[in-house]
Amino acid sequence: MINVLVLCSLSAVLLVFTYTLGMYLESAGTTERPDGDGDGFSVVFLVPCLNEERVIAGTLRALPRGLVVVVDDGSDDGTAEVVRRVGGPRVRLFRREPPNARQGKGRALNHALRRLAEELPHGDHDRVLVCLMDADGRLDPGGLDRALPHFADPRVGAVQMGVRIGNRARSLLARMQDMEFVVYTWMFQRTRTGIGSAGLGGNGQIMRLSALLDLGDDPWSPSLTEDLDLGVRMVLAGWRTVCVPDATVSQQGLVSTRALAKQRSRWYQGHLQALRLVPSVVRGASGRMAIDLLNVLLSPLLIFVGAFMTLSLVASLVGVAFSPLAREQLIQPVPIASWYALTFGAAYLFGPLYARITGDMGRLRGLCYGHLFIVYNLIWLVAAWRGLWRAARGRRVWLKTERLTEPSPEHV
Amino acid sequence: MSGMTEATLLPVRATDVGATAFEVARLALAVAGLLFALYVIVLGVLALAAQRRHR
Repeated sequence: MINVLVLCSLSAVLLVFTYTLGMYLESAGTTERPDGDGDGFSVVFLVPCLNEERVIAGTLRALPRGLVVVVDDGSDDGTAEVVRRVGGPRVRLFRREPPNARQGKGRALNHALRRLAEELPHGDHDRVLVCLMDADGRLDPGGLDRALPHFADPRVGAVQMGVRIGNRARSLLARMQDMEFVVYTWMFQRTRTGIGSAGLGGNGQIMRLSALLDLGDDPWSPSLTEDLDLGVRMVLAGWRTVCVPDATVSQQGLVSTRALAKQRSRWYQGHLQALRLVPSVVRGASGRMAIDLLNVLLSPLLIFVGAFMTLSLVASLVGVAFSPLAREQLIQPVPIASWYALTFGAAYLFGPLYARITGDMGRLRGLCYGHLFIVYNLIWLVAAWRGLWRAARGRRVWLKTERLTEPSPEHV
Repeated sequence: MSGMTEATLLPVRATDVGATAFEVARLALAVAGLLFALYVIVLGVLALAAQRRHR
């Protein structure tokens, strides 16, 4: 029985690699351009924030023309003062006060959307787009121009822009996060766009107002990953969600492993909360879309497959260290090459892809980053156990990511 | 005499630790396989259920 399960485990590695290879090949084609243009849409920028005095001024200055709604979810630093000081007439500040404040990002966004819907003239909500920007988000030049034409298709409810890490050149950890977003966007999101169910997350989500209102009074859930829930619910409501990888938005990358593990544990716990959407997917989706959504919702389980494989690898190394016979048998070219291929095979997909997309490094450097990226992903094992532990203890507080102080404009 | 016994026992103990570690490795791999099989089964059953509801 154990041998059968061990074979299952090996087949898991091969299947996951095949799946990744399939995504890689499918995403290697040319990017489809929409037929229409982005004219005639008005964009409202929605900026939720909580204690963002370090970055909010830069965010507001960088946003292109259009109405900006800042939702201050009970900040006790100088966020509101900074918004009032640097925001011109186009910036609206919605403040949430205790006890309503700090009840989660989803509730803050719902509050803002309700007020926005009341204030906007009743009319063509199909032509109003809500662009969600976190306080560390910076739209890259031309990003909106590449994203908006996708809304010419009336079935498109939301567009997710590609996310890049702005400080990737200053920290290896930030570089790995950049690679994570690029690989996720160009390999997995592009393929999911073909199905019409690209995931929504973080900075650079642009949503059609009518699609948001279609989800009821509270489009965002109180979940820790309210954006994941929103994307799934929008697809189940009959809208298409697409990702436009070359329309990019930059954000801060975390430079401490501890902060990264904390952020990922929040994401992981949110992913666990999203499991409650599984019955809705079974009822409301079919075919490739159902498989895609179910795969995304159930994927937290796969991390534990990886956790036990890593444990197995560590135990094997201990075994090799203590057993001369094992050393004799395993420290041979074939076992070492097999282990390397199973562990680092995907680096040969991720590395060159990253080098090609970023265009600022050679293939060899990309390949080195590919190997580091495999090791970097071990952070998810820590995050998964921590997220599971927090979920088991019923802890759901918003573990907000701390921002770095931005360099002042004169030093940029 | 006792030192010699210790020296003789050390490689045996090391081999025991090595064998135990390999057994742990094999079990961990089996648990990973079990979880993956469960994942595939659950995904397959749910996808089939979704398909049946839409027929």
